[in-house]
Amino acid sequence: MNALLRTALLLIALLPAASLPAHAHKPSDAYLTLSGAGYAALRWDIALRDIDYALGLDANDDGAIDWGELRARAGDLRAWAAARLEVRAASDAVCTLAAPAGGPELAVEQHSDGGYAVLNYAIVCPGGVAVQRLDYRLLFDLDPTHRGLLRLVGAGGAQGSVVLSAAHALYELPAAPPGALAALVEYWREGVWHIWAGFDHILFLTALLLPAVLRREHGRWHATGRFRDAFVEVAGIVTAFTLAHSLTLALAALGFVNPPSRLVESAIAATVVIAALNNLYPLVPTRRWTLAFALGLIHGFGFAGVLGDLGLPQTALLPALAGFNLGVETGQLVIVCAFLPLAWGLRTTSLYRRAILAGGSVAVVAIASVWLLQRSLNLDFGLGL
Amino acid sequence: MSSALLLVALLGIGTPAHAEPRVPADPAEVLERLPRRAGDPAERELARLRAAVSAQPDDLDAALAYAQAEIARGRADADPRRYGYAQAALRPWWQDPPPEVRVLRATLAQNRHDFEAALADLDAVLAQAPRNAQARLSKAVIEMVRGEPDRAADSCAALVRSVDRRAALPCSAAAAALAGRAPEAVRVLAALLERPQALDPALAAWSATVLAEAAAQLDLPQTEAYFGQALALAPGDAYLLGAWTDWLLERGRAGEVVGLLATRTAVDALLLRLALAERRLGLPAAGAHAALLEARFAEAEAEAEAGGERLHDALRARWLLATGGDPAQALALAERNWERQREPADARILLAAAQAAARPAAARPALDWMQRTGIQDVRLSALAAALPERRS
Repeated sequence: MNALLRTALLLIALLPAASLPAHAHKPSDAYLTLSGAGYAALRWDIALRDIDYALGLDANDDGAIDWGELRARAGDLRAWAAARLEVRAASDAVCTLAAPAGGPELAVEQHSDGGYAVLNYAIVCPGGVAVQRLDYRLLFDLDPTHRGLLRLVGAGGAQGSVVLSAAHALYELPAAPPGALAALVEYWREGVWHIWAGFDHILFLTALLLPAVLRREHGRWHATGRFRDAFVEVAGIVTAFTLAHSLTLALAALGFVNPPSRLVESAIAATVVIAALNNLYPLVPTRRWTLAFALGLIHGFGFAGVLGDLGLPQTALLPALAGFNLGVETGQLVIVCAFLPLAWGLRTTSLYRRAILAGGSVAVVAIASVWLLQRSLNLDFGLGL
Repeated sequence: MSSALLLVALLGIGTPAHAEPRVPADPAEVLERLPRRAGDPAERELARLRAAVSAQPDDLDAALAYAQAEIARGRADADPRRYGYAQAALRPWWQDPPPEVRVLRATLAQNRHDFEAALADLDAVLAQAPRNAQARLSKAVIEMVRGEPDRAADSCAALVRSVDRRAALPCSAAAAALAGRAPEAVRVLAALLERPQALDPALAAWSATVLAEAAAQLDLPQTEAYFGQALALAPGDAYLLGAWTDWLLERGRAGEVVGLLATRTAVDALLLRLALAERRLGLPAAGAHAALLEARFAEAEAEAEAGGERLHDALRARWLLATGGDPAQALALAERNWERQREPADARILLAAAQAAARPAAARPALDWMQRTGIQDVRLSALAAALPERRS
């Protein structure tokens, strides 16, 4: 009988294979979880059926695997598995799979398709550096359809799952997710940078602060007599602005409100125009913190837009949000600290009242009006503003 | 493709809830029962074939014999691990396969429902060797599964000119049963099976299965006897048990279903029937089996989300429909399943889901298919008749 004919005869046994409704058992899967600092803790669940096929667990050949049979082979099993997962650090140095820092070396668990051995390892890389890449090859020599389902668990919970297969056996770990402190510092820096780079916020704050060392009496500006009064005025404005923009920043960043960015940017330009105009034609001459609060609400949406572009790490949402807000406050505080002594020193001069307060406010109105037109009409005047 | 592309954010979706790992206290505690049965001659034969491959991994004949045995066993038990073992044995020839390996590669692709890859391999083999019976037969079976009985009939007819023509008659009968000629299929197969011992055992088992299903399509009084004959020829066969227990469930004979399937919970498709039967009877085991089935679905979904195949759509749709789940979701699953495979059982699920979701228009693909093939099937006709008239 030639080989072709024999194939044909035997394969008749396979006939209705295709018509099998969906499937059946789960295919062979192992579950790997990397967690802890530097992803150094590995938990590896391997089906007892697969271990039996590879190593032969059923010592008494009764068709059942008991705990005694599995435990007796614990050493073989751990070495067999460890030899089939190559772990390397970023330097390409090979890391070793050692006894776990805590928890048992071998345990068991029931998955929906049967019993699994649970192997715990500590991954030790030379010099204590973090795990960088995996080369997975458990069972591929015996069952090329086997897969490893890898889960990364960072500080903030599960990061995602990856299927490791014979065709995709190599896996590069993503950079470790930022911890809460790292996120706070990184976003604090972004917050400071945004206040200084975002000229509109500086102009708005400056326009509000310019009259803080003066008081309005009978339609004229007079120098404030006591530093304490000026300080309280500045502190009130800054606090109101901070509270207002923190509120809307949090609301927008956490997804409760989501105003369109062009509207927000135009409105921010308008707030700068209003703040400066109020210096020239005071509609709100006293208690200007109320103005700072009302207009500050709009700036919060602007900060949220920047934060949205940066992308908030879902694992450290609140630290990042808090860091960004603190950064904004820090940047703002620096401006205030530079402004207040200078303005205090110059407040009695006519230069301050004429050139700086009046002239400065006119300039701010002009600049912010250009922004307003640009942003609301989507125009570019080529002014580089 | 970079493995980073395979990174899928699951974030809790489908990550199955597991019990905590534990360290048993009793060394005698049984952790797993292996599918092999002690003293099972078929298992001993498999072990012998596997040992032969281990001893000489480059021996093509040994590899083919072992791979075929594992595939046959995998089919009977509906156990995909067996297909993996077969593939491993064929590794030396996998990338540049001779025809015998290529036919097996097609069978393995077909088993994971990758019908395009399977047909490409089969067509390549047939281009070289038009008289290769297995390639021709496998192609016919795929065409039947894809709801193309006319093409399947052509492939079956070509079997007559093949090296081995014994499968031509049952093949043609199976295609006829799907193409509106079920009475003819019943007549031919019943005659063929009058002396089943004269047939190749696997061919007899297949013919009997097709006969029972064709009789069920026509609601013939002999249906039960035909199923009995098929079960005698293929005891424990997962596909056959699924068809038989469906027939029993439709007749309110849930108690018999529980008796037949109580030990077959490893096979998802049979676990579904068992859970449905227990639920109907209000048995205490119903809750645990329903939970097990849903855990399997969740693990399968997690795998599919992470890039695996979706093989559970039809089962999940059926389960949702039977347990009062979301009909819109059931319909979406039934539609996706229909895109892949179009057997009468797939049409039944689509029709039932469309009705449950009150979207009769969604049943149109199945109704068109029934019209095009001319299939006679009392169950399909009843489901189609139950659909409300569509406004046109």
